[in-house]
Amino acid sequence: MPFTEDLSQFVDPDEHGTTAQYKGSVSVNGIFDNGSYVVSGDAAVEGTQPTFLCVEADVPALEHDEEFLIDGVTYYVDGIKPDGTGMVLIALRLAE
Amino acid sequence: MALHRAEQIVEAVIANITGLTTTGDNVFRSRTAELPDNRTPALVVYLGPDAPRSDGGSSSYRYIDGDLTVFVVAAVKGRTDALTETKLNLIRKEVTIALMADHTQGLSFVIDTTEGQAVPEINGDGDKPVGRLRMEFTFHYRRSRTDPSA
Repeated sequence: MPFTEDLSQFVDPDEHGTTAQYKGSVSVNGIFDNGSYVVSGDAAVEGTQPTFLCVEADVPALEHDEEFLIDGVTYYVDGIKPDGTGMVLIALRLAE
Repeated sequence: MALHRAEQIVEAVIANITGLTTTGDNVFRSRTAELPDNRTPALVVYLGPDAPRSDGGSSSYRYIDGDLTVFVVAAVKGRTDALTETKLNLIRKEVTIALMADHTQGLSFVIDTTEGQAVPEINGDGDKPVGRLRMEFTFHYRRSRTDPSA
């Protein structure tokens, strides 16, 4: 049986969602995370791991290397990971 | 009291690769703490195996020759995977020039310096690509059988 929940409520910017811009000026709501990330081993390097979780239908034809503007910071799409329930986790990379 | 000659070699390596154009003063000894953005690009120096030479021509009852391996790991964060790799090779060039300028490393007991393999690794899971290059250098040196500092 398909999942028919209104997914937009999970990314509502009035709750814990954030509004991002992509494809120039298209707005999309999602959950932005930018937690700590460490590349371990010899000469371990610290950084963060930015991701944006949103409704898959809100980002049609999303492609790698597209720009995402979140809170004034520009990122590039580095990975697109649909979860099979209608949400998609977008891995981001800092544009510098 | 003089240090073990292996330690003197590692110290000489660190001195010789400190202040290079790309990595500057970001040179560390066996660093276990993570490198923050403002300390990259960096070089981290690790002590490797120290193997005595057993062939008759390189040792006697008074001295022993050994091959000390030192690992120099370059770490960078780049804008793209390709630029990261390019910067690793730039650092590699600078390190090689610095360590091969004098095959004794300024130490009377070092007979030769040889360059071993360099193994790159790129990680793209974080906010920027992280590249590391593990470079291997081997130092043929001589020391007393009874006192490793002499």
